[in-house]
Amino acid sequence: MTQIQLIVNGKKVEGNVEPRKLLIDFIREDLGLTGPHIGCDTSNCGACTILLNGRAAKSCTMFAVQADGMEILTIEGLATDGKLHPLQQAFHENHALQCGYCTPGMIMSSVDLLSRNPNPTEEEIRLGISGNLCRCTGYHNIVKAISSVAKSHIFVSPVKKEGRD
Amino acid sequence: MASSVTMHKEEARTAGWIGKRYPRKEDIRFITGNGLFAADIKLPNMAYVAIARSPYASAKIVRIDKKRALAVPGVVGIFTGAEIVEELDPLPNLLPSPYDRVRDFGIAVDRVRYAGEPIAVIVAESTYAAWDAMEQLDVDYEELPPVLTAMTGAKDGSPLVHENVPTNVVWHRKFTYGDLDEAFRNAHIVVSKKLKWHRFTSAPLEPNVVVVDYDARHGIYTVWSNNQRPAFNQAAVAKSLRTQANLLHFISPDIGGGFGIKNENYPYIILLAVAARWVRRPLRWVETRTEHMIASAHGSEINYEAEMALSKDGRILGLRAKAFHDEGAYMRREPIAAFNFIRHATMTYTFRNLEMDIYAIVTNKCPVGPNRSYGKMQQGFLVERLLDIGARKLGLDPIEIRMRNFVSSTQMPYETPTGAMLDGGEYAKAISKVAENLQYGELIKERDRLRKSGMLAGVGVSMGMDACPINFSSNRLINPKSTASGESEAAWVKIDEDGNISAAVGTSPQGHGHETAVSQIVAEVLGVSPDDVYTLPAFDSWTHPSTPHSGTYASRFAIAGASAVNGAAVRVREKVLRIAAHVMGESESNLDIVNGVVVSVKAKPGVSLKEIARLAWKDLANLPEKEEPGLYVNLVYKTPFKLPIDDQRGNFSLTYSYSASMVLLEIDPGTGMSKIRRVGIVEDSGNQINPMIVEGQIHGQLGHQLGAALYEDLVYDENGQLLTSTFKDYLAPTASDLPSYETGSIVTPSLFTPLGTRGMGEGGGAPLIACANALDDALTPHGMEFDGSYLSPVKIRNIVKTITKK
Repeated sequence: MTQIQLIVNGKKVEGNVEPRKLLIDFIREDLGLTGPHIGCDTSNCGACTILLNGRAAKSCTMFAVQADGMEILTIEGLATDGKLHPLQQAFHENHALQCGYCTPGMIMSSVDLLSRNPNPTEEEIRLGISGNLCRCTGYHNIVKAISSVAKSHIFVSPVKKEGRD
Repeated sequence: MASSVTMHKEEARTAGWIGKRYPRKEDIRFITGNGLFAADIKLPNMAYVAIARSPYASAKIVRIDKKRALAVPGVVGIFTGAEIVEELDPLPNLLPSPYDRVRDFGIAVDRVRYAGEPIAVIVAESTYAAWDAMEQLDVDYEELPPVLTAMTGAKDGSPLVHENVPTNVVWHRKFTYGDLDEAFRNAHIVVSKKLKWHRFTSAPLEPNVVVVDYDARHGIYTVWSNNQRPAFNQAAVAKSLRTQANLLHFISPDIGGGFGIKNENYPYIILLAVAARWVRRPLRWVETRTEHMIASAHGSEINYEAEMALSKDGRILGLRAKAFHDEGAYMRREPIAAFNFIRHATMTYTFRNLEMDIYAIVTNKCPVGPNRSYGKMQQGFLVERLLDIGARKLGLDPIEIRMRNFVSSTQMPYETPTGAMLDGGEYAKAISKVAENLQYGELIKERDRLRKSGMLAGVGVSMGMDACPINFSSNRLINPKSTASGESEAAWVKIDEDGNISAAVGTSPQGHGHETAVSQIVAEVLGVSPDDVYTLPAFDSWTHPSTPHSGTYASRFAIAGASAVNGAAVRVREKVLRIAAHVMGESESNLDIVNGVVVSVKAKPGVSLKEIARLAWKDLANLPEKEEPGLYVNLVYKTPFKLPIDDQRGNFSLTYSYSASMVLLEIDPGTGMSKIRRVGIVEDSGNQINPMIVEGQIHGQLGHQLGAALYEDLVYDENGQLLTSTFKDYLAPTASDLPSYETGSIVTPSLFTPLGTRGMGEGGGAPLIACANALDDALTPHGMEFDGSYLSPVKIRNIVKTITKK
């Protein structure tokens, strides 16, 4: 077992994990944050996407011990002061989710996309979320939601300081 | 024709909530990461399950040695199929003799019949430990030659998938309507074609999950699963477990997509129930993606040998087809996919001569099960592909040939040769509208420009039909011993003593937005806002109403679910008005409910719903004498179905949504990659409860069907190993692979439902078939025809090589 320390959604957490434990399992099972999901075993679907030191990461693709000392933001930490993040609001208003299973990862990838590129074209949006699969919406309204946030310039990066990647 | 069907006179009230693009009530928990999915359930003292599976497509299990696996740290118990089935009765199946000899338990006992079939249940302190133990489980197999295609399985001398069933052709029926000889004698041309419908799956993003807790004090199993029709499956699970359905507490929390596949996870509920009872601990099993791909349920796979007779002016005179269905190893719901052609066999067209010769053949592959547009898009594919080829041969425009064959709106309701009663629609208008939206003429010019620039390019159109829900009397045509008929759904609506309104329905949604749609219906009837209605989420057999047909499958919500909720709300309203009339000294016919207040046309002061509710529950001496206390109505809606007309005809669905789709497809001959440049669809699902949700469902159909046409294929190798078992090889499309959609709708209310709604959501496969037609259009200028439902980049590259060699 290995001791790890991280900051998750602004709070300091400690864990005692098997070195082989995947970060997603640490987040879901040990921390009880069940917003990030698991949809595949090959890092294709992106349902487990979180922000790791400010950048989107698939938390099924790394071990919890690799995240030692890092800062994690999950979907649960995105709304601030009881107010939805503009992307969350836009997903709701544009009917950009149906079953909601891909949604947490999809929103976190969108956060990363707009952090890097505040004015993406439709093609750039589609490419930006191409690491996240959705089986319900055919992506149409997801693209619309992200585009609406970019066009109205209401995106706010949830990451306080510069990413350390 | 109209005299033989039930026409509903009851009309929707028009307060304006039904038909609004009301934002979804369920969204907030999902966008904040607070959805509750089955894998999120964690119970005290819980243990974790891994399922050991067969690596072979066909083999005898010679020996399972648990010794090394049991020594793995953290292992709680290991239970083989042979041990578990001692506690079980076999799962039910639909087929008569000889298939009814098969004893199917959802786990292999002494023989495995597909790669991925469960052989043992491993329980451990963590999922990691369970998987460690699985690696140490010693199993000796004796390999047998597998049956891997329907065509080889049907041959004399083929190895048998089930040794006690003397043939792999487990169901065969020829359905004949009209006079085929006459039709083909009069034909100007006959289109003969072998067509292949490929195997794919809707693959919901959330894999199957089962959590079971056994309460020995009461003998009750509490089951959290993502089964999409828990109330429906409860009886089968109880029977297999040799218990009573009312001792199963079934909960389906939020479900991460179902698409039919999640009807089929009930065998795992049974396996976990036995194991949970044995180890006396709550258990959780979460399927991996690979397990899902190899062993959940696949969509159907069909070889057609078909011919269509056409007149000189493009009228369909008759269709004759043999359909060979590769059913996989076990017939659980099957042969329903093979049989479902009957729901709308002649699609949107008027032809009367039809012969369908259906063969259901078991093979050593993953069992086939329900998959979005189950058996319906396949029939559309057969008819629409042949008609399209016919148009080309006759030199007719594909839209024009369809126009010449449509059932017209003046013929509605229209009885088809198989006994389907089409419930209204403007088919010509739908195809005209999609052509107008995509500027068909310009699209053809664009295709020609692409061709000149060196690309392969094609334009395709297709109709699709979504017949729903299921009249279960159709099962009698498969097995005369089946006694089921019709279908039903339950709902309750309640106003409590403080005036709070709640509603519940048995439909267990998987992303369909029923909390919103139900709230809109109740709000409409009770004269309040949808925000004033709390609709119970998900499904819990101890809190939600249900019937043996409950669940969301076969696009049934807008028919059965909506009608049940509407009916319950109408009865609550009637009671509110009776009590209000008594209190106000007014005639009920003068009363209405507006913004939560019962008001009179005579402009007297109104009485609030809250006050009526207080009276109804707490001030009982002041109630009208004959009125029972409370404002609570539990209603079971019977979808108006009849028995079959004869042994091959009947109206097996109530509503027939339809759509017209058009695509412009471009293929790069260098890479073989295809790109959808434009895609449009116009659908008519009758009155829409929430057009935003309806549109979302259409987007979802497009995503699934374009993916199936161009990227998704379940490929087995010569040993029966699934090669496309992960999202690395099974190419579920990403946002970059798909275009934006040009959707539209027309509304002709259904003639047969209380709200004028039609079932929708599954769709009828129009975009997929339009892609197939477009691929054919892209290849025919090069002297080649397309015969499939899917064209992989590799195959395209091979075709291009052939073309360039010429």
